[in-house]
Order: sequence, then structure tokens, then C-alpha cells
Amino acid sequence: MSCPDIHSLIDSLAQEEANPEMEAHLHTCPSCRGYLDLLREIPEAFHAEVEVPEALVQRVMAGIPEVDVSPAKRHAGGLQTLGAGVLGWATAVAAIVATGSAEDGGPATILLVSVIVGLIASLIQLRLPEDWDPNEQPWDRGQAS
Amino acid sequence: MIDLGKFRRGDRAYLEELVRAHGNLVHLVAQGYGKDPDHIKDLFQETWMHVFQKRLTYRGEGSFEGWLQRTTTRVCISDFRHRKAHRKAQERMGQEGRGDAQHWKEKDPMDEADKRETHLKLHRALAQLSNREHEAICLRILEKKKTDEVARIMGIKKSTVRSIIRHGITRLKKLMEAPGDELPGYS
Repeated sequence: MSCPDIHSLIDSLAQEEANPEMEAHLHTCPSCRGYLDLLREIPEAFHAEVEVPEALVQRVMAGIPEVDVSPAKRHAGGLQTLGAGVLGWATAVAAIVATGSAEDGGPATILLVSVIVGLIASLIQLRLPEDWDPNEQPWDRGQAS
Repeated sequence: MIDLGKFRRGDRAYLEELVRAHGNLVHLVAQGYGKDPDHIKDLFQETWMHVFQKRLTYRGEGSFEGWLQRTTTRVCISDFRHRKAHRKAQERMGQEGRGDAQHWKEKDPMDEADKRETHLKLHRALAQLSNREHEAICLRILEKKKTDEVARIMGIKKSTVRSIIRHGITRLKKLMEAPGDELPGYS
């Protein structure tokens, strides 16, 4: 038997019954044995028993900021988005009326510009992370110790 | 499988559960980069802070352990590079920083176990793989998913998944056979 494909070796790990042909090959091929050992090592390396001290867990949790996950707050996120959009439109309309540029294009211009500004305002709001806090400073984030 | 809703909302009680359930993985990876026990603790904490801040980037489809391992190695490598640059700057300024250099060579006595060394090295080697290689290998070998399922999750062809895994494992084996000092880390 020639050297099996790497995927055959991966499949062999999941099989309960050994393939005699592959077993015979593995006895004579150090390279394939090396690959098989490596494939076995990967899950072991992820699930190795390592004791994490309780004090360290508490230290981690002490450094993690509180996030308000109440339904009211999540609902408020949607209202904020809507509010930003309405505010954007209102600002655009007010700006156009104040500068008198509406005379150039009429209601169509007002509508177009206000929709664009409103969309931009909504997109900015939507791109903010859920836990965004406008009062938070950059140095407040991720500074645990 | 993690509770994506609780995780993404930043539910503290759930995050504590995750720290307890997956802390061993983060700690082990940190051991591969930490220069002493205190440094390992700092890396451990920094990683979980990063996990918390970047939780919205986890889509929930890939392997959580794979994502966590990747996040941990990124934090550790970033720290390693920062410290290395700092050490070089100190050397350039003629400040040897001898106390620090002694710490550098200190080894955690527990690192002597061969198995553990292999695991530490394997995590450092995994960090050298591309994002796609890492994700495919984690899904296929760690999560034991079939190739077509991996292809669906990654949004690529089955044949591409097979090729990525073949290439990634071959690279991983070469990295594991290379001397340890060729990989970034303190050991």
C-alpha cells in the first residue's frame, strides 16, 4: 500500500475498527505514523488538563466591565437607530430651507438630500457595537490591570 | 456548542462559565509564550478581556475553541513582539536589562514534561497557519465535522477544503519538526 492521503488518515481516527491494510502500512512508514501522531495531538492539545487557579478566574471577571443586557436597553438600541434617522432628515431639511438652496431644486432636492443624510446617520448608528458607550474613553477599554 | 446569544450580549455569568470551561486551553497556550508564571497570568487575563471585546466577531458557525485558540495566540504573539521590540530598544540604548534577561530564560518547572512541551509547541505552530488553514483544521479535526460541512461553514468548495487541510497539516508537521526557537515564544 502506498502512503494514504491525509484525509484517509483523518477518517481513520474516527473509525472504531482499524483498517488492517492501513495498520500494516503504518508499521512500515514513519512518515505516515508522524502524521497520524500529529492528528491525534491536535485535539489533545486543545483539551489538555490544565488547572486554572480560582483567583485567576476572579481576576479576569473583575476586569470585565458590566454590560446592561436588559430588554429595555436592547429595545432602546432600535429606537436610537430610528431617532438618528429622523434627526438626520430633519437636520438636512432645516439646512436646505435655511440656506435657501431649495429654490434651486424644489421638493425633489429636499427629499433626495434628506434621505441621503438620514441614511448616513442610520448607518453610523448601526455600525456601532452593541455595547458602545458614548461616554467611554479609549483608555477605559481593555485596561484590566 | 456555546450559547451565542448570551456570549454576544456579554452575559457575565455565562462568560464566567466560559472562563472556567475553556480556561485550560487559554492557560496552556499562554504557557507557550509566557516567560514566567506572572506573565502567563497577565496573558490569560488579557486574552479574556480581548475575547470579551471582540465577542461580536465570533459568528457562531466555526469552532469556538478554534476561535479562542486563535485569539489567545494573537494576544500572546502581539505581547511577545511588543516585549521583543522593547528589549531590542533597551539593548540599543545600552541598557542590558539584566534582571529581565534572567527572567527570560526561566522555565516553568512544569514545562519539563514532554507531552506538555509538544502541546505548547503545537499551539505555537498552529499560530503560524493562515486563517483558512486554522479554521478548516479546527472544524475537521477538532470539531470532527465532515469535509462537506466544513465547506458549507467556510463558504468554499469541498475540494478547496481538502486542499487547505492537506497543505495546513503538511506545514504543521514541518513546523513541529523544526527546532522550537524557530517559532515565536520564550522557550
